[in-house]
Amino acid sequence: METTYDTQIEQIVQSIFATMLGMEVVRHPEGDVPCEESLISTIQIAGAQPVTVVFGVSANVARGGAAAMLQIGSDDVTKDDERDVVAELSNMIGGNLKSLLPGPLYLSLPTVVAGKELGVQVPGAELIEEVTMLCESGMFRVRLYEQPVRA
Amino acid sequence: MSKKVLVVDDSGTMRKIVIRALNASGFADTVEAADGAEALSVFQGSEIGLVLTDWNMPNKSGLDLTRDIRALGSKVPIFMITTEAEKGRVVEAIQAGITDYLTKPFTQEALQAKLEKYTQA
Repeated sequence: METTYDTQIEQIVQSIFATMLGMEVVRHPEGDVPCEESLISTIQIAGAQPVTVVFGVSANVARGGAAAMLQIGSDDVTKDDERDVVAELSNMIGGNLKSLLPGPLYLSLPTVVAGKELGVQVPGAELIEEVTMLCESGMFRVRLYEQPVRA
Repeated sequence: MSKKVLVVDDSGTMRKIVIRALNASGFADTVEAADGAEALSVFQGSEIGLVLTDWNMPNKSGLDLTRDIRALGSKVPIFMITTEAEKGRVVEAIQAGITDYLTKPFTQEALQAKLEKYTQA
């Protein structure tokens, strides 16, 4: 897999987690390993080269992230808080990635799904990046899918 | 601080973060809306002294909200907090009538520093 946006994704995620959650984030030392994803947020970047950003997190990361962002105890975090925080984080990841891509581009609203053994399919699109990262609450993953440009 | 602040974001989390910063900056009187359409209705029904709005929201965007508020003849300061960071988008927002701009992610300190000028206005 080419790594065109690999470093940019890492830097964007590190900046967002440090600024909004006060959390340090590192690349998973074992690379793109399987990651339990209980919440997945997708966001589309529409334009000449459409891109879909998929942000998948474990239940622990969703809860820990929501607690950190809302500055409340993890016992006080609701399922709605988790979904909202995951959506907002994906919105920031997508928005910051958008500014690196050739425009004009438009960002969709995030869509969040929650469940067990979730899978992601973006019909007609190719997975171009997959970055697995670690924070104090656990693992999460950012994937980038690119739609082929129609002639 | 008697100025009533309208906070507009479809994310409840972001509204809480923004209101926390507003409270820390001395703005105690806040009202919330989850999209631009709800915000316009709140704006028309209250005496709002400052608007803080997201850009991308369902029903009506922050950009359209800004245009609608300016179309009403209001000169209320409108502060946009958004992930839209490209120069062209910032110019578009300024042309629509926004007063100030902050891109996400942001620190609480950065937001409070931006709010300082409105505590003195």
